[in-house]
Amino acid sequence: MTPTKSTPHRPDRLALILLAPLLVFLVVFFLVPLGEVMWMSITEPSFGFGHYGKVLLDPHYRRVVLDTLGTSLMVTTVCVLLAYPLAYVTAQIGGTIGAVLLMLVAMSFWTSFLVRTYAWMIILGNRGPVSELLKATGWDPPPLMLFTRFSSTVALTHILLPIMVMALYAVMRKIDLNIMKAAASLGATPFSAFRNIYFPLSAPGIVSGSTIVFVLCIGFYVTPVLIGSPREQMISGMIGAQIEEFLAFGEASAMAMVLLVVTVAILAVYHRFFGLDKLWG
Amino acid sequence: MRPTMILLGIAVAVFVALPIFIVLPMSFSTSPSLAFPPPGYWLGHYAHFFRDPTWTGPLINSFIVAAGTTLLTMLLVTPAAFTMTRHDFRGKSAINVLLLTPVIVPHIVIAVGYFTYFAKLGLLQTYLGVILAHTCLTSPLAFLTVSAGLKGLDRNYERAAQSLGAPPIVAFFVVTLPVLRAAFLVSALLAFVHSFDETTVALFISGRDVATLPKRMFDAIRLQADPVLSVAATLLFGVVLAVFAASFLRKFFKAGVSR
Amino acid sequence: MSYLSLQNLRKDYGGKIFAVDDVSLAIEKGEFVTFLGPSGSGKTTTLMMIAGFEQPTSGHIALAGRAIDPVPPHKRNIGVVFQNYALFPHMSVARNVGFPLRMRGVPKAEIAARVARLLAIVELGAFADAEPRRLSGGQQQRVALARALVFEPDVLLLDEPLGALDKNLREQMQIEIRRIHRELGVTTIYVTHDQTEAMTMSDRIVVFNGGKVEQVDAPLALYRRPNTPFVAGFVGDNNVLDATHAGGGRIELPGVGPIAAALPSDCPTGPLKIALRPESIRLAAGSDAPAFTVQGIVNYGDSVVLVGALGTVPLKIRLPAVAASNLTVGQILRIEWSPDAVHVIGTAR
Repeated sequence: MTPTKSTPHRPDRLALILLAPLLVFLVVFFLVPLGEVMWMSITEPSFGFGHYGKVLLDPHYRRVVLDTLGTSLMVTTVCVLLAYPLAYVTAQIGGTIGAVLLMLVAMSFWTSFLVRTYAWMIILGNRGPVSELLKATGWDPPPLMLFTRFSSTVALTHILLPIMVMALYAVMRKIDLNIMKAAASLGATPFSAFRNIYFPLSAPGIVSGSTIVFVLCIGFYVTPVLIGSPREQMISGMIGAQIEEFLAFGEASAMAMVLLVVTVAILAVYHRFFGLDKLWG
Repeated sequence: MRPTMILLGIAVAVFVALPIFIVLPMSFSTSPSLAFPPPGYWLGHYAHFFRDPTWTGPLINSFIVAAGTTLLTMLLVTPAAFTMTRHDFRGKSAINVLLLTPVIVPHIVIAVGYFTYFAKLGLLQTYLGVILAHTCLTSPLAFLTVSAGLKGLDRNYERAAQSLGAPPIVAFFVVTLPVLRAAFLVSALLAFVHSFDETTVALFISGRDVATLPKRMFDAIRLQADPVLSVAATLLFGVVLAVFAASFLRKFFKAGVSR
Repeated sequence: MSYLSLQNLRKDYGGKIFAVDDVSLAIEKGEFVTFLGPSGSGKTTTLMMIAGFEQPTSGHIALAGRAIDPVPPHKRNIGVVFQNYALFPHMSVARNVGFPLRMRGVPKAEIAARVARLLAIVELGAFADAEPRRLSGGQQQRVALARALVFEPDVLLLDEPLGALDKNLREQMQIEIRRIHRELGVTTIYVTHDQTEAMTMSDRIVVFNGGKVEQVDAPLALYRRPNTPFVAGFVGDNNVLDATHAGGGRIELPGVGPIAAALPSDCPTGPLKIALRPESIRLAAGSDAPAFTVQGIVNYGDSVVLVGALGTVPLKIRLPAVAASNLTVGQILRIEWSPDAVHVIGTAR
């Protein structure tokens, strides 16, 4: 008897039917509006690449782009410096204290950006606790902290810090602590064991955490707009202002595209070397 | 580990948690401005908040939008996660990328797109518009959560159900759904919280008619330092806390059941 | 026509390699058949195709004279017990067992009666309201068995059902499963990689290797007359040796010379493979018997396995513990075996 093709009772059509709604939905309500942004950047009000020329060459815009990158770099660096000890302690200590620390981080992470931004407005405000403290130490009147690059950097750092902690923690949790004991038994001092063993093993967490934080930071809208300096806007604030105040859709779209390209480029580089699937830990 | 390291870690944790302990007392403050620490405590701001329809309206809007988003997200994401975890086909990795793009694109970028695209479709300042936009933004996370659950699920549960006479759809509702209810619940809660908190896109498309709580708060912060804001902030925070408590209680309950 | 028949079943996953390669089988009503083979040999895939969870790339399956290829799993009326039991964690034991009856719209009172009967058969009547996860592994196993039997399936499939149990429990469950099979008489296919399990339980054993069926036979026949070197080596312990049949019933081992063997009349001449069970080899009294050099001694308590060489041919010998005291590595022993003990692989006798 020659083998004959048997009839499958479950066609793969079903798999497609299950997948199609989400795909169609994302195409119609995400990719199309995204394409709309791209389209507007070269057609609004008339066809041409003038907006890109302006965004990339005009000193004012260049200033904004550089400020955004500078602030984001600063925020990312401070995040690493602060998050590392916290993640380290959390991963090493475990138990109740570890759980409490983790819970604080998670709670902060899930608290709205808006709430946390607002909190910093209170803390750094001219009648807030920091000002009062400075006054008490004789710095009267205290310096204006709100609506400066300082305040937006502090708030952004605080807002993105939990993400960095989680990225680091995800990697550190998997480091086998016996490795450190092995290093000690082989004659390494605690510091050299940390520098030669633990730190290199935790480095992937620094890379992925920094990537996420930096990418989120350059595209952040709410916090810089509310708490930052009106004279030193970041890209996203500028995009919003173009639309809300000037209805300049073409320019706003061109800036949005630049922001998108930079974001995708960073993630693409990350993907090339590490694989995007590792980004979320 | 050295005590200095522990102290450093705890100091950072305090920094992380600090704002929550600023906003909560502020909502009970008697001060008309943003003075901290508050000179005294009362519930006046809460009374003010709940009597003012320009605050309660957005609060209700946020619940409507978040509920609609959660429902739509789960309806779209669950069947898709089934196909993506159970089947192999050409172009699957490209589809995976598409499913996750909404987390890659900065919100301000897509907000610009929605602003004009939804204007054309007549969806600006409508519940439907905000729900559609938020569903795009929440779907990747919900998709990942449901997929993780499905990947962890032993396929033999469904096979057993089918071998015992349950058609595939029945097997899903009678076996898969109950066994994976934790993953579905977490994924729905994530979608709800995400939508409830989302600010940037809501700013551009919810307008005055269906302004969400974050949009109303954003506008209020920009205009004046109104202490009622801390009430709104506390409520926003409270919703997250409630979700946390719910998932914690569930875990606790589950731990109790399995001895 | 047999009750369950598999005709030229093949399964591939898009590649060139077949997970199941041209498997044909005929299983009679009420039989207890075991699929035996190492992991990846295609036995579980074949089982899943019978259950309907995998689609054959080609070939057909017929049950009671009816082709079931297009029938979806939930309409096949085939009971399956999975390796990890797959008991529904959110249902009590009784609700698990009643599940297939509810799916078939059986009236409530009847469900209760049938569930109670099956739970009595597997001796779990007292656990009807328990949660599955509170039961021991063996108890969960029996619940899974009751659940797969309560709807009176045409065929019962068991996929390595005892894999997760410890040794003592496994033996107890083997007896239990046989008893239930006798009581209910359901046609049963049992998948395992454990040859002892297959030997003790089955009416017939199907040996799988590399997606193909190597041999189908009753346990003893399989043990005595393996058809292929693989079966000879996989079922029980064996010495599979290269030999030459020079003609006239004389078997020679390379480097050793002629050995005692009773050959079947149809034995071809030329190179062939022979199987010689380690336990069929004895120590010989005379000094003209073949010489065996001991290279290693493994003590199993009740018996001792000697690893060594007959001339240049590696050989294993299993001796009763009493016969093997005072042996040392390096010692040279004289050995012998009954000519009947030599089986020429591939011959019928």
